[in-house]
Amino acid sequence: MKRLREVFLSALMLENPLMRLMIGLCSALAISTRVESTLFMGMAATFVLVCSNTIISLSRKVIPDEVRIPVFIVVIASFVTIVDLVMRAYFPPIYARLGVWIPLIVVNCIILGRAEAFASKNDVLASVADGLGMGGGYTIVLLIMGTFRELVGTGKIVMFERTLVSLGSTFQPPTIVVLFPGAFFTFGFLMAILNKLENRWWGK
Amino acid sequence: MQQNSPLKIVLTLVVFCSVAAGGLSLTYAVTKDQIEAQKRIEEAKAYSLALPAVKTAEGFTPLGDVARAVRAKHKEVTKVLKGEVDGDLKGYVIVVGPRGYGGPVQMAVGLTPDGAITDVAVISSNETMGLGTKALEPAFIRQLAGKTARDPVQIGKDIDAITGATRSSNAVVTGAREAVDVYRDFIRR
Repeated sequence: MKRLREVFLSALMLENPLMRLMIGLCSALAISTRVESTLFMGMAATFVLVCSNTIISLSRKVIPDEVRIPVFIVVIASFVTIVDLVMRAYFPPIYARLGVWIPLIVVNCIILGRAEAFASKNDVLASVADGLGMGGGYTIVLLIMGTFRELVGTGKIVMFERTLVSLGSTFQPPTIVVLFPGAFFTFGFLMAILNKLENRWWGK
Repeated sequence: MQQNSPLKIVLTLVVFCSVAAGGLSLTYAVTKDQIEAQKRIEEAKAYSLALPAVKTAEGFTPLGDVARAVRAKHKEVTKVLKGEVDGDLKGYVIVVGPRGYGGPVQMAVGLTPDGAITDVAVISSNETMGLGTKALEPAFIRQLAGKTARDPVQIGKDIDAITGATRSSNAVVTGAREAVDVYRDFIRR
């Protein structure tokens, strides 16, 4: 149990995919314009990560080394397609906004990366913990970026067609925050803040 | 690393792919009807927004022949429908997808039986959030209400573009222009 918690926390923080491993950035930068999108994107990626880690870990002894990558891709692509179909059927407004980024989870480095680096070498429980940690870490960072970009860039936060927070009509939102450059600025500043805090807490 | 026999490699791939295919076809079968239904609801909602006089999806009938004739000339027009309430003609809806900044802006343009624009509803678009999307909001679209084929329906003449979203504004106005043209050339008798 202790080992599982260590795997989970390490994946969540020390090896946070976005802030520490710096993988899966493409989708994170692109979809973090709204809190609602980041929430669903995070859940979709976590689901795929946990499922693919489970299957790959279970079958790691029977997959021939020569074709492990094609097998991983088949497994990952299947789960992504399942998420894609389910979201299209039951959450059409959010699917419409996330659009191509859902199918693109297939090529998200986090998922293939964890399949190759973790699930294919560890037992099932540890792989599930790793998937949950990685997915959770991805989702948390996305949520922070999404909250900041939506609030500052549009002046309000809208979820499920209800305005949760509004900065009032006197606030003139700087649109650049929700545009592509804003994604890089937000990401860069977030990383700077995180590094600063880490240095202060643990010293270097 | 021990060498695996080709047979094992092929068999593993076949097994994995078959299981994946099975799982996918199962999911597809379960979600297929729901996806179709969502698509129809989404479209009908846009039609009703564009032509508020017709509230139900059943009130809209596609004009297949007209649409086919239209498509030969206007490639961006995908559908032409008439809207009726109890057999009473309330107007037309023309679905058109002009090119915006981020790809086609699929929109439904509602027209009265006399060919004046009632409203425009965006079905799907990929315009830049917070900038291009301003051209898809009521404040901008309101300018199009009441326009007919006799009006210029053109940015800079009778329509003001959104600053910083020229191409998105242009797409919406081009779509509206095409819709009134389609009415003039194909629907009005």
